[in-house]
Amino acid sequence: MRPKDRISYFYDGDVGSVYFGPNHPMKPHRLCMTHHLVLAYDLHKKMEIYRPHKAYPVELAQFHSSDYVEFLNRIRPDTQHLFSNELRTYNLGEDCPVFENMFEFCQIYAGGTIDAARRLNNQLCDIAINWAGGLHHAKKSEASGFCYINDLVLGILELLKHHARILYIDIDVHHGDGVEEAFYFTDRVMTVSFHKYGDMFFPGTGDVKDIGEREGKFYAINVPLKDGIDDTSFTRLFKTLISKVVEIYQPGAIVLQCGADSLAGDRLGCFNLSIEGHAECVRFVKKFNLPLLVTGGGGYTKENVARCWTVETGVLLDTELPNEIPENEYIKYFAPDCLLKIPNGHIENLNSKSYLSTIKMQVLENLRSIQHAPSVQLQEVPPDFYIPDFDEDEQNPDERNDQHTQDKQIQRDDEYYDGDNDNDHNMDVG
Amino acid sequence: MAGCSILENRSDSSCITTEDGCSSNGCCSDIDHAVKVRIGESDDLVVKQRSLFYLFLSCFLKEFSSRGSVRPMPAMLGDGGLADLFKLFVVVREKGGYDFVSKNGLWGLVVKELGLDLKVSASLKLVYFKYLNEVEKWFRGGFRDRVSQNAARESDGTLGFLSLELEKKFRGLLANGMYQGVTDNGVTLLKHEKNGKWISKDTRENELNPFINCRQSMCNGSFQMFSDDDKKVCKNNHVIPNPATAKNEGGFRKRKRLYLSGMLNWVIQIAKSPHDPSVGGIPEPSKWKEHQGSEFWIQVIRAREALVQKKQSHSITEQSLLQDKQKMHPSMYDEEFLGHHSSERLRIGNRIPTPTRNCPCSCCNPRPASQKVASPKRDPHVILPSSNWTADPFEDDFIEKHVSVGPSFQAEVPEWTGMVSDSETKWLGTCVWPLESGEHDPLAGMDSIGRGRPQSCGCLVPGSVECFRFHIAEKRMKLKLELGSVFYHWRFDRMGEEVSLCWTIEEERRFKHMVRTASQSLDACFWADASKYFCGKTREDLVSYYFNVLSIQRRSYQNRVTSRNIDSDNDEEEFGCISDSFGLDALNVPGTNKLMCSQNNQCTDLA
Repeated sequence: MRPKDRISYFYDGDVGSVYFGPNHPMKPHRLCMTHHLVLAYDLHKKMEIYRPHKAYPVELAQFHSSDYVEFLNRIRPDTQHLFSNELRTYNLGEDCPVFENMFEFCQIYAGGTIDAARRLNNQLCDIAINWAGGLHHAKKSEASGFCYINDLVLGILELLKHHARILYIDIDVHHGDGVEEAFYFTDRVMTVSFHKYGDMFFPGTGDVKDIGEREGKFYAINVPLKDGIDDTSFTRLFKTLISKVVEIYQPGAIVLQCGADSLAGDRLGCFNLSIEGHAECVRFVKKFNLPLLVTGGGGYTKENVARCWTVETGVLLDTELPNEIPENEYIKYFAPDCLLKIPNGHIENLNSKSYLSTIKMQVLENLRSIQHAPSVQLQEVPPDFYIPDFDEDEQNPDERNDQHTQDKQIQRDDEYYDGDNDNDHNMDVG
Repeated sequence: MAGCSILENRSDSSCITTEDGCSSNGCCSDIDHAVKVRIGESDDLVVKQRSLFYLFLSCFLKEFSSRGSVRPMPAMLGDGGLADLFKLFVVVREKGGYDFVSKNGLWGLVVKELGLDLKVSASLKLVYFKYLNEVEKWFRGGFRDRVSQNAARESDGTLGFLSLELEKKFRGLLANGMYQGVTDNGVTLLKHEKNGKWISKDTRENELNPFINCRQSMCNGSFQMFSDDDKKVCKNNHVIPNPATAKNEGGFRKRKRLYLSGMLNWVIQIAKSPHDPSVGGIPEPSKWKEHQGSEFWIQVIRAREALVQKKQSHSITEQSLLQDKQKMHPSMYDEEFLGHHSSERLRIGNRIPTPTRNCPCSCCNPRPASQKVASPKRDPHVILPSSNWTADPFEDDFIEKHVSVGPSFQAEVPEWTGMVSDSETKWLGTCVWPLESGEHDPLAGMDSIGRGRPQSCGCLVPGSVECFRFHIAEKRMKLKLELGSVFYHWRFDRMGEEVSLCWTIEEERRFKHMVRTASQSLDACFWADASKYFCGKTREDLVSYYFNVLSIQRRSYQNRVTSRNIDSDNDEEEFGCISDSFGLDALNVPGTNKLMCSQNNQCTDLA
């Protein structure tokens, strides 16, 4: 067995008092509840907790246009009426209101994800968690869907400094459009998003036919789902596709967006996932033993968000959590049962077997295109690479096994061809 | 009351089931326009208001005549001249209404202002009484009935289109300088609202908020308030506090929008298989009015009428809006629907030319179309207009959404060189846990990781309020000892119901009242105002109190009283409360003895 994963967890106490405004479904207070629950389960004893630095505007401008960042920094709720044109240009207001300390909030959550990426880069940890991050809708110069700064893109850009290829996985109920759009032309980032698609569901993008363009063609994967998907079909699809993606793409690190609005009973979501099913995806991704950056995302039923991310923190720490929630300040939010598990959703599952298999076939078909014409940048094989054995009929993939890891290391010499970027010296196979 | 029946009348003839989609979309821009227009083209507007007023009046009078009291149009004065009812109405309202004018003998003044001969003053008064007094009353006091009426209709699944109509009326009056009257109405509305008597909050919000907002902007006397007000109005549309519809929290965007989907699905179905016998026939136009609006086809027709009508009223502001930057609607993209919709659009005859790509709610779709709309090559369904005019106000909504491409959308990703680029080693976050040596023993309590709630405890009455409070306090103490300074770093000192201990009972009462009022009027300024009222309390304090005390209070009420309908994320939910305070008084539950715990006390002291 390799030594235990070193986990860095990011939290800043100031996010709890951020308030988007009355009746806005996004409540950063959920982060506060999550942190409380994590501590109530004593999970902090197994990890290092960091306060992120507040990302500087220049760091945010690594992806975002500097005028947009500058505007976010400048705008205040009491002066916003003077800037109605800019507000429109940057899509602020309504879904993305201007509120007190908005920019600071962005700096904190973006700083968390950037710091997390840097710690991974410097090999100071194996897994980094930033539940405040994961705001995947934000565009280069536009806010969208409660997201102002796209911390995921910034984190991925940071990871790209050390890794040839990054895999981004998104299990938020909404399409990860901001991240997909940012890396639509590149093969250095593969984005995979599982989301609800159709019926005018936000944000409206994410058709299975959107696969990326130019060099990025086939490097954007969309798994559009319909209402009410349940644990069994979701995790099965997830495992099939992700194991194939990892096998073919061989990322150097993985970024996992764990939006909790895909859980049953979410205010805005429409899936039937239980926390167990949601966390199973995290467990599966962890098994690849790649540097892993885990972020939060959506999630609009506060107590379920806290439950879910606490369970997933536990999963990343290899800790099974007992179902009875220990006493904590917010226990009343978890009443009346005060249990960790939530009841299953009752939304009718509109995803027929044939629909799901069509989607699956289409995605796998696209993946084969990469296999047949690997990009130059696929040469780099990350060290310490492992693909868990996954059999579709088997629900629990086998435990980590060192010998197994060795066997699974893939020699990809056949895919080498001459070029300037011959990276043999970077190989670390078997 | 006349008002009700008129409402019925109107909504029957132009009813549309758009709760947030259409009508409220409309009201944003309506107000926007109204105020904008006031600054600029007021002449044009008077004409417009006049025609609206007459439109409205004729409906009103039709209702009268159906009840036997005929009011011939046009109205004649004693000298055989025609009365300008619109002007008359405006002037009398300005003076304070029929009663006021009569009581104070101001009819002569009114006559003068209308530029008429003094001898017609008696007949003018009569004309006003016969034709306009009811209208005036209706404007002033009829809201309650109308709203409840509307609510009733809505529960049938048919929301009166009247809200749109009403808005127009108001808009007309507003823009025409009748601030007084409208302000009055605004106040009336607010009062009604505070009484909390009305039935359906949705209706109330959707209908009235525009006016309240109008009033605000009027009172402020500043047109720069638009963006602000727009925002409020938009936001208001999102709130549908009715538990039955709570899941459908309305929205154009990430928030949900389900109201039109039934109708839209029907349109899609028709478009796919136009000859499907299950669709059934659509009766002759003359019979449309007989239908109540439960069928999809009538909804579609009414939706179209409503959109066309709205565009008519918008045409004034073309110029200012031509420059407006717009964005496609994010939530509408269904490909099939789009395709059929475009071809459908070409057939519609009675379209009104309208500004380019202008969705009704400019504040909600505020992006440059040129940037965002996919190029024709990529989206064959989009029929790009040859001029600046397009037909359908929702045109943008039906464009399939594609990933935007171009340097202003994609991140700059450097080529992989095989070399690890320099990575920042400075900003990696500040380690706050585990603590520096000395403050904390890393091995302490390692055995307890991931432990759940103990099944049993040594409390006198396990599971009681005291028991819970004791264990929470115990946990808190433990955490505080363990975390040391980090406890404050993470703001744990400002968490939990302890927060309430820094508040006086009076403050708590006031805040609760304020939140309750605010959640009803949905005033976005609430938090800004709140910090003014509670001097010495920062915004953070207020938010913290909201989540740590009020929200939990509501939740614990729900846990016990309405445990089947728990939703702590719904800001609209009424605050029920079991006990008023979270101090020691809360422990005074009848039948139990007070359990004082030294640890508990100690802990409260610390907060």
